[in-house]
Amino acid sequence: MRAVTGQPPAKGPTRLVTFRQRAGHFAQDTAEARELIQATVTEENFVGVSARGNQVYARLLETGKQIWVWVREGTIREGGYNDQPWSVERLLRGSR
Amino acid sequence: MTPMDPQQAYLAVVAFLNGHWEQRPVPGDFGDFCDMCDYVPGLGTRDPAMWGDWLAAVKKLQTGVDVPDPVRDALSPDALKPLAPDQAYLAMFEFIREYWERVSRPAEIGDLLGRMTYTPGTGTADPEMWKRWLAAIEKVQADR
Repeated sequence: MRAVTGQPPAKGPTRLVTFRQRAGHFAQDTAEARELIQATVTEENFVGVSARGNQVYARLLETGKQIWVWVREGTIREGGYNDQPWSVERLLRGSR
Repeated sequence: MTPMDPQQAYLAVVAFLNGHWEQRPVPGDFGDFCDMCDYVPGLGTRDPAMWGDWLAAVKKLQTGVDVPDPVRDALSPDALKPLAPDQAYLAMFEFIREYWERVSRPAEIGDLLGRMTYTPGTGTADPEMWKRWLAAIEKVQADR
């Protein structure tokens, strides 16, 4: 994994909402799930900064799923996946 | 104001949250919550689980049944009744409160809940919250 240039690797994720038995979430807090999330936080996967101040990272897996991660102040805040990849605009702007 | 179906009520929730964000647009726990709640009709919520969490909050209000996490994605708005403004407000309060509990009770969202606390016959702890809620409903109903 290559960290974002000039920054240490992001910490986390720390929140329980990242790991839930729900659509778009990793069901369990496993080393594999954390690796999928943390390996997304690289310079080439950087999408932009969201309207509410999170750095957004996303990448496509061979399965077609899109992993997305929010980072703020060097910590992974949230992460999950979309079965159907979202556009850059949607990743950054939501419905606003 | 006419009763709202669960989707209309959710759009009012998003409008209410966005209005609160615009009062103090500082990145943090509340902004994260708003980001996850964003909704596009036909596509769903930014965090897919938020839609099921909302429907679970409505169902809990209407039936007293607490829907467990793994089956919330299967909830349908068609199985729920329309909501009057005060009912939708109470469902919104439960929706936000549950998220607050889930993310270890961040102070920023706790403060909002304190201001939002609703007592029938008396209103919200901060009267401004109820005004903003009614404004959010009017906005959604005007956009229909």
